[in-house]
Amino acid sequence: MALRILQWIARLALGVLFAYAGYVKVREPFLFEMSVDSYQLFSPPVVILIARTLPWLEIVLGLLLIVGWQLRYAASFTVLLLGGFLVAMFSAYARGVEANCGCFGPGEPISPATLARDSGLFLCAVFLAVYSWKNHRARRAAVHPVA
Amino acid sequence: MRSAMRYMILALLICGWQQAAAIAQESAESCAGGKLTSPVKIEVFSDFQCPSCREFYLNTMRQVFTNYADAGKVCVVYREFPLTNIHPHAFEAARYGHAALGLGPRQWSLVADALFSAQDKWSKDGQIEPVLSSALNAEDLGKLKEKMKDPSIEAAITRDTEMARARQVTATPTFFVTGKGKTQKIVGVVQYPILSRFLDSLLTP
Repeated sequence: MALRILQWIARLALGVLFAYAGYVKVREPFLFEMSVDSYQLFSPPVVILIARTLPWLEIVLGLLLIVGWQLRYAASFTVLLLGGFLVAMFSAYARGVEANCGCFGPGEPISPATLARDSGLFLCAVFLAVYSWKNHRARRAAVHPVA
Repeated sequence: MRSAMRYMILALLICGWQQAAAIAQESAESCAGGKLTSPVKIEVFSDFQCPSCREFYLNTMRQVFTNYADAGKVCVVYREFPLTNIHPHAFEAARYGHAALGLGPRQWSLVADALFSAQDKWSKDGQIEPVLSSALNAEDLGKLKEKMKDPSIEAAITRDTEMARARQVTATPTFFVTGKGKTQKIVGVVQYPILSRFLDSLLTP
């Protein structure tokens, strides 16, 4: 029961955060392009491609998490996405690059606080994915019991 | 009741005077490139000894000066934010930068070009003057040396630093772009093609 409540909290929290993060970026696309660029990882055309597609992906993922449809896939994809963000953030921090986190809008430099926050979200997503897959298997086993 | 009204009027007058003084100070600042009347303003908080600031200036801002500031589209204000705890010669370099700004935008750009281009050289030993003597002509160098004696330069750098702290600048380069009635804070190095897209979006009606 406690795990189920935790799953609900994780799902709604991640869903709202993702939908909000995507919305903020869609509203200010040029600012998000500059945030992506400040990581110093990509050429301008790739920066533009990422900046124009990622926010919509976040919105869709956020809505899927809120609604709970195909949760195990949405949660797994969230783990991959947050994992990617974390790799980029840690890489920028380790290289000493003064990058804009770009997580929830402009003007927030990558710092131990932003790294800790995103790591927390990542762990939250991992829990959600693992729990969703376990739940799905348990339900399947209940419907089709093994002799 | 009357004395309360008098105090209120006095308080309003003081507030108004302070605001007017702040506006006067703001408008007294000079653009390192472009005009104060330009529709877009970029304020860069920078440190001459910071490698990211070097990259941002040489690869991005120089093109902004050429393509936007010279065309009167953008006013670029460079503010000193020397990170003296990690860059021992940054304050001295900032003094030269600010003194050059006092001489004019042309001299400032020559000094900024020289300081950023030869950053590796003077960062090691703090020998800034030899670097500048090869960038400026004898007349400008003489004027610069004279300007360096002005005690108001240090006060101006302190003012820039305090402004940076008040605006929660924690890293260099950090820049603020003001256009279409909004100011946006951006941290880090941004490539010219990406920054120019943002500037174009602010310049289109």
